[in-house]
Amino acid sequence: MPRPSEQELKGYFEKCSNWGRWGKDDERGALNFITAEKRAAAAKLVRTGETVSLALPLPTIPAPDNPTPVMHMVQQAGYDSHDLPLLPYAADYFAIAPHGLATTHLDALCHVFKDGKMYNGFDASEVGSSGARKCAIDVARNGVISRGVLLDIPKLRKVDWLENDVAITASDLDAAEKAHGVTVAEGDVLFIRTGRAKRRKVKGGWDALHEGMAGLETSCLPWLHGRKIAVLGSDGISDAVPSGYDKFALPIHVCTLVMMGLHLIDNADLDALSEACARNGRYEFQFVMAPLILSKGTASPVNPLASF
Amino acid sequence: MAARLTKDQVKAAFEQINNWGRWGKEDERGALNYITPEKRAAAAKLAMSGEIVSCALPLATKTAPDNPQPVQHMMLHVGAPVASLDYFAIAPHGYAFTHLDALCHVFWEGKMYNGFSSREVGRFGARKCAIDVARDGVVTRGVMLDIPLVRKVDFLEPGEAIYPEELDAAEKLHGVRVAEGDVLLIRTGRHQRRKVKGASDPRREGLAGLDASCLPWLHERRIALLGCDGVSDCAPSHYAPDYEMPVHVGALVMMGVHLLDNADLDALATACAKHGRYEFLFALAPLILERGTASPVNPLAIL
Repeated sequence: MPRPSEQELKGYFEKCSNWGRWGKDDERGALNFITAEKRAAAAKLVRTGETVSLALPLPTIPAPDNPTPVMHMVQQAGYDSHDLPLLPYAADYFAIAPHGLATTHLDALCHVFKDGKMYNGFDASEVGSSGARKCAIDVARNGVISRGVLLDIPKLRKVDWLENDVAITASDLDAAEKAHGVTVAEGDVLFIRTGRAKRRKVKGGWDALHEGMAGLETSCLPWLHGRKIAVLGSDGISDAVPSGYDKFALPIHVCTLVMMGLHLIDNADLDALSEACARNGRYEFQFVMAPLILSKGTASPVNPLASF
Repeated sequence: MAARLTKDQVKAAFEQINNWGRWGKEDERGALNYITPEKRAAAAKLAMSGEIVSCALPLATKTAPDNPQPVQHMMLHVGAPVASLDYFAIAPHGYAFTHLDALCHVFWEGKMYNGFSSREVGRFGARKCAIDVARDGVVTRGVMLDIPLVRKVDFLEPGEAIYPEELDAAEKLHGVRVAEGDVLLIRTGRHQRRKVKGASDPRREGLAGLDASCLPWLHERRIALLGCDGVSDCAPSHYAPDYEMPVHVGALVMMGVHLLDNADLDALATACAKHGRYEFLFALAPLILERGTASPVNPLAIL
């Protein structure tokens, strides 16, 4: 199957629109698919009590895919703390720009725009110099708890990782579901593993915006929309880079965040999860994530957890 | 009202509650070791209704008497046509942000938990007992003891201390018993007071919290983590100048109990009262800052 044409892609943008689905003032988008019942059912997936982190360590070292590393500065070290008047202590400070290719983070729905609009038709001008007035990251202040599902594409293809020019198609997603014995359903948090984190551990970081990175082909968009997932995550950034479209550099970002109201987890580390799923013989788990409550923020660094 | 300790008794309590070596001489996780997979699996069964409550304050970006160093939130790129990007910076300790203290945060006689030297925290951060020891998160049973409810007041006043007898009374009132591997949250009503009376500077005006006499109680119950809407310690300390923050030292250094400071427990108090139970599934996932002394967190309670 050839990649969908730009005309077909534009059709997907319309077909996948969730604008108005939860009312014209809604800022939570597909998080609305997660009900209290869904959360209570997800808790029942915890049997062994094994917990796995899906986050990379905060990246403090510059790399080709990390031009703006996290700054970590010590305000008070331990070795000279004995002179402190009240209590010897150590303290530190860090600074982070969560977007990009290096930090495990949750994109708010105000992060990208299409034709000057964000999710639900809010104007891009709602993000001003003091931050986002609509669809900021704090719409998820009570966390995201639901069923998580992993589709492990390198496992399906029996490779360590997908090469940089690979785009995952909707039929790959169907095949992975079948191989894993799981069906993605309403309110799920869906993770697509490309093996990027593993490739990076072995071969080092690369500048994916120039050298490419595996991700989803646009043919997956109607599939994702039809399954009514609540959050999409990947060890890459969900988009295949380059996209192959002149006018849309990151069509998955635009269609999920803007049209579907689907929050994205970028740059997760799914290697330990892949092993845990294989070991437990199941690709569903309880998923827990709690973004920091940055009231006007466009993202939060996160440490998502999977429990079996 | 229970009696305060003498200074000798505080010293004796520090010795009594010492967990150094309990999980091996190389251990850096302390009382988090009390949380077993079985404990986590049992805790998941408490998420019956699926209702979630956040126990975090929003990251405070404006200065206030209790927030001299607010979070800096700066935009890198704003609005159309493509994307918006931002940046923030935070010094998580202090009295303004909901954060998890790493075990390397305070020292006693030049040592942190398990006898590691304070010199292990250098200018590039902590080589021992950094916050990333909790990289796989803290998921277990949470229990809240709502002290204002016990005292039939809206909130405790700064400087008011909580004694072990009150912890017993709260357990009895709530119908819950704190057990091994629990995350224990102590509510003083601090944020309710802030809403009514405005912010005050805990360094000057004090804060309600636990008296040092609670330390043996906490040790005996084998809690995995202690949290509070204040900073667990009562301020000003009744034991100053020898012991400025005896609960911080006793918990972090002696017991290896991580501390959750400045949580917001008001919504949780409402939810616990509504559900008629003070136990819940608790989940907290610090950021993985490999040499960090703390992480801002958004702890969740699921009832």
